[in-house]
Amino acid sequence: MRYLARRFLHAAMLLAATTVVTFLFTTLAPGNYFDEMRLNPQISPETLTALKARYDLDKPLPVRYLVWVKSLAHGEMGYSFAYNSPVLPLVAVRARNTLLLTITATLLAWLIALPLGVWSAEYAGRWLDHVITGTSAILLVIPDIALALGFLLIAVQTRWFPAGGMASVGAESLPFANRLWDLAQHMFLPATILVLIAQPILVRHIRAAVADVLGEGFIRAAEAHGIPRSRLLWRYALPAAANPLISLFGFSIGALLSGSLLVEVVTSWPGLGPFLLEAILARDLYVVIGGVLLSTVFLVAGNFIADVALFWADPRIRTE
Amino acid sequence: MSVRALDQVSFVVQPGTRIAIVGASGSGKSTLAACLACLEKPSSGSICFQGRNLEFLSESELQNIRPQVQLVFQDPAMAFNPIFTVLEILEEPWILQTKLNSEERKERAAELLGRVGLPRRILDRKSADLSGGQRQRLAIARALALEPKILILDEALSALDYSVQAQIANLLLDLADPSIPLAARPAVLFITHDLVMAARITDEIIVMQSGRIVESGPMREVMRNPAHMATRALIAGASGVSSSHEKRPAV
Amino acid sequence: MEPLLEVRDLSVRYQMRDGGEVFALSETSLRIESGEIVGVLGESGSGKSTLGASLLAMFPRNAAIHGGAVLLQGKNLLELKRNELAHVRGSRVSLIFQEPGVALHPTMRVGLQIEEVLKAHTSEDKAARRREVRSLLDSIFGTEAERVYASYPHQLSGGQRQRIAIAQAIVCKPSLLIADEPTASLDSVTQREILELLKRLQKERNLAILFITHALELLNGFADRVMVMYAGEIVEEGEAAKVLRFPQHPYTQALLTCRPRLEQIKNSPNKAHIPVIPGDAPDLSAKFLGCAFAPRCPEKMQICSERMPEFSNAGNGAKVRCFKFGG
Repeated sequence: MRYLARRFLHAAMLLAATTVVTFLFTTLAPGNYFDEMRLNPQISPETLTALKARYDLDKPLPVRYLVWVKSLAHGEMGYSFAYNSPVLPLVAVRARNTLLLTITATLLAWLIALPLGVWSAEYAGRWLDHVITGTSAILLVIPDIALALGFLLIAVQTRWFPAGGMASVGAESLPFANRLWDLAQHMFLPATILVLIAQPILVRHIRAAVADVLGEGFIRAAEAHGIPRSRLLWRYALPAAANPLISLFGFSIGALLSGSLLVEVVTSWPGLGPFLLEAILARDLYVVIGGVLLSTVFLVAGNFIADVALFWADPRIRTE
Repeated sequence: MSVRALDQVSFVVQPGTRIAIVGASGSGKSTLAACLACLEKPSSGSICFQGRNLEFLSESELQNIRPQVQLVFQDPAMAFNPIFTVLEILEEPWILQTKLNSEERKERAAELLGRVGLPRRILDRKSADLSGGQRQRLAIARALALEPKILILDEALSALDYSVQAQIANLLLDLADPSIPLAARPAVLFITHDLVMAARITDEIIVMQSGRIVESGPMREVMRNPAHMATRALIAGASGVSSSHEKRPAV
Repeated sequence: MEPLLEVRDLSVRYQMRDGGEVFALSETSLRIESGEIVGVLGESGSGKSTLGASLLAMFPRNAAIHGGAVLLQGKNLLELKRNELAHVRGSRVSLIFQEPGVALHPTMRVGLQIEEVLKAHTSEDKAARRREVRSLLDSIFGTEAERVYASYPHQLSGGQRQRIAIAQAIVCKPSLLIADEPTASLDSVTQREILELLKRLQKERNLAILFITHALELLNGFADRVMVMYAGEIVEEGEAAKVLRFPQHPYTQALLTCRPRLEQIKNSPNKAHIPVIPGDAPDLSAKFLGCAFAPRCPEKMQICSERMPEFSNAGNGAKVRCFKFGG
C-alpha cells in the first residue's frame, strides 16, 4: 500500500508541476489575445487597456497563476476570451467528444491487437507471423496523415460512411437508438484510422512480450502437464507477459485526450484537439491552459492506473 | 520485516589457508561471500583486511583492496558479458590498471589460461561457446588475473558434472598447495552445500545455519566428531542416509 | 508381461543454427515396469534429458526423430497428434524438471496451478478440484499445506517449490513419473527429503519413476535399476546395487572414481588429485564409428574404434556394451 501512496503523491506533484510549466510557457509566448484587436482601427487603445485589465492580463505572472489556481479550487478553469464564456464547460464538451472517439478506438485497437500479437508469437517464423508482422511494418511506415487522408478519400469517393463531423444535421431530434447508429457511422472513419495507427506498435509489443514468455520454463512445464495449447496461451503466457503490456496500456490511457489531434482535424471530429489548436493560434490563454491541464490529468492518471494495475497483477511487486 | 542473513559471525582467514563454509540454503553463506568481496555492506560489525577495517577506508583505498578478494559464482552461464571474447574478458583489468601493450596482454592471457588448463586457441572465442566447465575455469582465470590474496568460490562447482568438478577441484588443490610460497598462494574460501567436495579439498570447516556459525574447526576432526545437529544433518545427507533415519533410536 | 513403457531404437538429432547436427540419442532402447524406480545416470551431453523428454514426446523445435518408437502400454506416443499427446501428458506420464522456480507460473497461486492440471484432464467441478488439491497438499506438506496452497512461487523455498511441481505431476495419478535432475538446485538436506517423498509416492501409488541425474550417490538405496548413459547411448544397465558398487563398463568405473566419498575422506584425508576421466567430452556432431568412449578408455582395444559393441551379460547380471565382455 505504501507503494501506491508513493505513486499517487508522485502523480499529484507531476500534475502541479505541469500546470506551472504550462502557465509559464503560454504566457511567455509573445503576444496575447488582444493583439489582433490592436490592428483594428475601430477599437480604441483605452478599450484595449480596459479589456486587458478586466482579464487581469496586466497583472504580473505569479499573481495570475495564483488567481487561476484559486479559481481551479472552486471548480472553474478561467475564462475564454474568444468565446466569452467560462473555460470548463467549453472544454468539457470537447473532451467528451474526443473521449467517445478515443475510448472506442483504444478498446478496439487492443481487442484486435491482442489476438494478433499472441498468434504472431505462437506461430513465430511461420506464415501467419509473417503476414501479421509484414502488415504491421507497412502500417508503421505509412505516415499517419497519409493514412488519414487516404481513408478520407475512400469515404468521400465511396460514400460508404460519413466523411466528417460527429453527427448528421438534425440528429438531436432522432430517438436514442437512431442517434447512436448515427454516431457510430460518423465514428467509423476516425476510429478506423486511429486503430490502424495504433496497431503496429501494439502488435509488436504484444508479440515480443508473449514470445519472450513462451520460451520460459513454466510454459514447457505446463505443456508437460497436458494443459491444452489455447489455455496455455491465454491463461498462462499472456498473464505472465502482462507487465510490459500494462505499462503500454497506461500509455494508451494517457493518450486518450492528446493522441488524436491529427485525426480529429482531418475528419472534422469536434474534439479537444482542434479546439485547443484554435485557442493556441488565438492566444486564448485560459482555454489553452485548461485543455493542457485536462490532457495532463489523463496522462498522469494513465501512468498511475498502470502502476495500480501492475501492483494488482504482479504478486511479486505486491509482496515486496 | 527484516531478516537476519548473518548473525554475529566472526572468524579469521589466515593467508594461504583452505577453508570450507558449508550450510543448507538460507544459512547465510552467500551473504557472507558477498560481504567479504565488498559487494555488500554489513549492518553492524567489521571486516578487516590485512588489519584495516573496510568501513573506514576511502573509495580509492577500497579500489585497491577489491582486486585482492576475488569471487567466483555458481552460474557459469551468466558470469560473462556474452559479446566479449575470452581475451577481452581477461585483459580488461590490465587495460585499466597496467601499461602493457596488446601483445603483452595476449601473452599474459594465454599464460593465465594455461594455469587453469584451458588451451590458448579459445582466446578468440566468445564465452557463450564454451562448455560449463570451461567457463568456470575461465572465471577462475579471471579471478587469478588480479593475483588475489583471497579466492572465494560460491557454489562454483555445484552446477557441473562430477568428472568436470574433479578436474576443477584438482586445479584448486594445485593453486592452494601448501608447498607454494605464501606470497604466491591465495587463501581459498570454498562455500558450498556439497560437504563431500568441501571435505576433499579444504583443511578447515565452518558450518553455518540460519545466519550463525554453529561449528568450526579442522576438517578431519569435525567430520569424525560433529558436535552440532546441523553438521550431522549435512553429513547424513552426504552419506546417502536420509535425515529422518537419524532420528530413529538405535536398536 | 508387457512393460509399462518401452523405448525401441530411438534416435534423435538436433539441428543447430550453424547447420550442424547433434546426435543426442542413438538407437536407444529401454523398458520400465510398473512401479519400479529406474535411475538414468549420465553427464551433460549423454542424452539423458533428451531421453526423459522423449518419453512424453516433448521435443524442442529443432529436434528430429530418426527412427524408433516410444510405446506406452503398447501405443506409440511418437505417432500421436498434439491434442492426443496432451491427454497423455500429466495424466498417464508426467515430468518434473530441475529448476522448480522456473517450472511454476510466477503470478499464479500454486494451489491453482495444481488445480489447472486437474482441470485439463478431468471434468470435476471447481469445488471438487479444490478439495482434491487440498488433500494432496495435506499429505505432502502436513501443517503447512494451508499456507502453501495460497502462496505464490516466489514466497516458497526451493524444496517447497519442487514439492509443488511433484504435486502437479501426480495429481492426475499417472503411472510413470519422469524426474529430470529434480534435486540439482537443492541443498543436500532438502535433496534427501525430496527423494523420500518420491519413494513414498512410489509405494502408495505404485508409481514408476525414471530418475535422471548425474549425482550417482542419490541412486543408492533409491533406484531399483540403473542405466548409465554416454554420448547418446546406454552403456550399462542392471540392478542399482550392482551397477553402483561393482560397475563393469570402463566409463561407469571411471565416473564412480571421480566422485569422492565421505568415508574415504574421513579415514584418510589426502590432498592429492582426485581421479579424473582423461580426454574431452565426446563430440556429438557426427555418428560414432565405434564405441564413443574409446578415445578415453584405459582398456581400449583395436576393435573398439571399428564398431559399436552390442549388449552382453557381465558377470554380475548387469548388461554392458563393451567388447571386454563380448559384444
